[in-house]
Amino acid sequence: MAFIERVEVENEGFLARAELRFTPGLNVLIGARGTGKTSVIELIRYALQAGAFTTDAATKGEQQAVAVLDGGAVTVTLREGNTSWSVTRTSEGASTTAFGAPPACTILAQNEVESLAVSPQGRLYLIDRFYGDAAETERRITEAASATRTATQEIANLLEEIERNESATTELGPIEEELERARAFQQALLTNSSATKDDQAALLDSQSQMQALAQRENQLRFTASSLESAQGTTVALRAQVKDLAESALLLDVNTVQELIASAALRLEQATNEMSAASTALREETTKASMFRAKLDEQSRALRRKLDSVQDGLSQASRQVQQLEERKGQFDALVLRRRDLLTRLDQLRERRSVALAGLEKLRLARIHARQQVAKDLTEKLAPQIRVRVAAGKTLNSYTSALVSGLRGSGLHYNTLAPTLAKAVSPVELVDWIERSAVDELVNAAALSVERASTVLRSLRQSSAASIIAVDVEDEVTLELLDGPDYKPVEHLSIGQRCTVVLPILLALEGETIIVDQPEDHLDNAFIASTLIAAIRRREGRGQVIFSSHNANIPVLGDARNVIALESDGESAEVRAAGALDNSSIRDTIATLMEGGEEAFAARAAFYERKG
Amino acid sequence: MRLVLPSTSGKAKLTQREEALQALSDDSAMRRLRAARALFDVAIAADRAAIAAQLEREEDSWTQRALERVLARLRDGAVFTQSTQADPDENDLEGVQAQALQLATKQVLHEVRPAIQAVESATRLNLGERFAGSATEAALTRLTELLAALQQLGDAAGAPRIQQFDLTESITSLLSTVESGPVTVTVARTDAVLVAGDSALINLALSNLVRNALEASREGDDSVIVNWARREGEAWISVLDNGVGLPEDALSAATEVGTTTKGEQGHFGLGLPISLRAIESLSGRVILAPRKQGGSAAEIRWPQ
Repeated sequence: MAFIERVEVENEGFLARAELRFTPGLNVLIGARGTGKTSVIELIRYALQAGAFTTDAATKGEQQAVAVLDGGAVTVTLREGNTSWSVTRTSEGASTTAFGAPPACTILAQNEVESLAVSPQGRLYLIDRFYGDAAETERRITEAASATRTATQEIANLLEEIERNESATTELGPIEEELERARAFQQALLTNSSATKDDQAALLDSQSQMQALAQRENQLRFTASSLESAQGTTVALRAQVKDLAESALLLDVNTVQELIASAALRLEQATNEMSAASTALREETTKASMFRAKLDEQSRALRRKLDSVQDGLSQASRQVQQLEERKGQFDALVLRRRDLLTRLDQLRERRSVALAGLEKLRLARIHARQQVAKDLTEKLAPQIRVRVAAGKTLNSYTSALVSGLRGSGLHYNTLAPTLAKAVSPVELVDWIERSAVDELVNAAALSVERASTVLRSLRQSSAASIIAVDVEDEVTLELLDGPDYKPVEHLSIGQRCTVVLPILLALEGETIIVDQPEDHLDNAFIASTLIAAIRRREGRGQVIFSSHNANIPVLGDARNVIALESDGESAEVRAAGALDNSSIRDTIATLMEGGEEAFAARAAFYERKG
Repeated sequence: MRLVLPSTSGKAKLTQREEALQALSDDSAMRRLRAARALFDVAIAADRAAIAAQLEREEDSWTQRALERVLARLRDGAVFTQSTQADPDENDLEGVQAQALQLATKQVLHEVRPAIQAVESATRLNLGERFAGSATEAALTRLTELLAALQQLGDAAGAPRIQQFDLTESITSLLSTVESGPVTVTVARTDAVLVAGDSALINLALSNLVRNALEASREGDDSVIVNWARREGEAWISVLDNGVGLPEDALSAATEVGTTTKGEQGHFGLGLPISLRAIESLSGRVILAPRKQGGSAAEIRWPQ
């Protein structure tokens, strides 16, 4: 099992040239106030980039570490059997690792224990520490969520285009009948006229060519507009990857550089090919419209000729031609619509696969978390109970709804939370896309008018931000206090620590570091529960505490005690070793028991009482 | 011998209702929810027991609610609607106004910022060494500060991002960045107070109230006290000072941007409007009152 073996500080700062050696098992950092105990802990967190349970602890910790280093650097070495890892980090943040990434450590600052207890996010982090592939699961969830969002945005764009297509189709109207009537009228005039068979055939031929041409021109234009939007995306992507390729040059990893450069090159090719396609399309469109102009000129000449043999024939045939053109346009729109609907189906299919994957991953995560909760509850029974409920935290969802409903004229601050509770994000997006007002009315008990306002205002921009919104699981930590269990939020600060510390110590196989765990704790709890938890952990992971309480090193049977000392300018290790080391024993007696005299007086007091 | 397969037509085709009832025990919460929604239309009285039993087992909160609604419909024959508790005022002018304010400040800042930067660099070039310390530099600095205040006003009108957070942690770290001069700012508690809200908006409101309190104080023996708590359905923060006190109509005047009790060199009279705007975005309110012993008390409250 890996443990922290050594912490070394370079020549600068408050702990300049300090070297601290740790052992497996319980290590205790002791020393008067201001001797650098917290600094050592924050330096370890900083070097290992071990993270924190609350943002406050993360920022303050980093500030302190940087201040202590004062331009220098710290090196932390971990060991497991014959394998060792060494991490050096400078106050500028540059980090070098020898022998790969070191094993994880869990580090808590003073007050972080109780503030993590009342932070929903902090409690989730705590539970996630207990199952191995939490980070990997989280990464895959982010990936699936992003795929779902992208597909939803594409669907929203597509729906908008379908809507435009529909209104254009409606505007052109069903023209079959009108065209038939116009053709019949023209035919009647032609039959009565003395126009030659050839001229008649030429007229009809040019009209049907007009229809085919109009259809082709429109199809070309639709393809051009789709291509244009794809080009936009590709150009943006190319720029992004180009930047990436430049910043990758700063890395000294050749394979990465080569791969990114080759991706950039291919995107370059793709944009070139697309722009060539776009030029070809434009040329083809120009050709088609020139051909149409020519055809139009021919048919005008023909019409003039026909008009001379039959009054009104020119007028009638012009109308047929116009209607043929409209029919061509109409047919192109209908074909386009079929194409769009096929793409919509494909996108929906792609999204539902991504959604199913997302649900599965979240389900696996909740099961893992619930298993952790069950194990912890069994281990720490009856004092402590841990529970995890699925998808209970609706804050992100509510926020997404609030920002989508603003400006809709609805009271979003009251409506959004109600809506979030009543309707799941996935079904809401489905209803937004289908304008399914009735479903929303049934599910959320809204009036028809309000429901349709909700769907309309969310439709414009919000579907993608709603669909994969993170609905977090909720962790409840409870302590048996009096007749029943009480959730950690309703407990005193001291009680909160009595819940979190035993849970932390149950985290086996990695180093746990806590700055002054005894803050807010009474000695009775330290002597019974905390010490018992430390002893239970023997052989299952290193513990590093800083402390002012003699009970922790003495009753906890510390393997290693490090006493720090400071003259206010800088700090150093005054003594280090096991409990049987005489200078360690003296330091504990002076520093933690208030000296031999005070200790003797206390002993006499208890003897008198006894 | 011929093998006779059972004919598929013999197997009864499931009705939509039967399918939905079956799907209630599906592994996927999405499918269970869809089934529950379908049952709202097709369930019959005989299904009540089965649905109630499923509700007992259901873990997904949306499916639970959907099943409850199915049961309610089966029981009452009709559905309760929200019309009884609909808001008296359907039109949310506040939201519309907030969005307009946000858009307007954004637009103005977008246009004005580069213009001012251009003026500054041109003047710097023209005046050369005389720029530093000139009246022009002072005026430009003040203009930049005004833009920063406008930016805050726009931010205050932003859509809230509701999160659970520790109010104590948030207030303490905000106050550690405030320049308090000779006046001491005291916090009334250090234990964690968990609240729901948008910490950025609350900080924006609070920082302006604290700055007002500090500006009203300015004396060595004056002090500013910040206290907070969460009580039935509401969270509050109060800022107490014993300074010069506020004019009676401070709060109503605050809705008219630009009114200030401070002199030329002070802020822009945007402090209180920013606080008001930020808290209104959370459906909360700001209360200002004089204290008996002098000074004033400013409070922000928002629903939980």
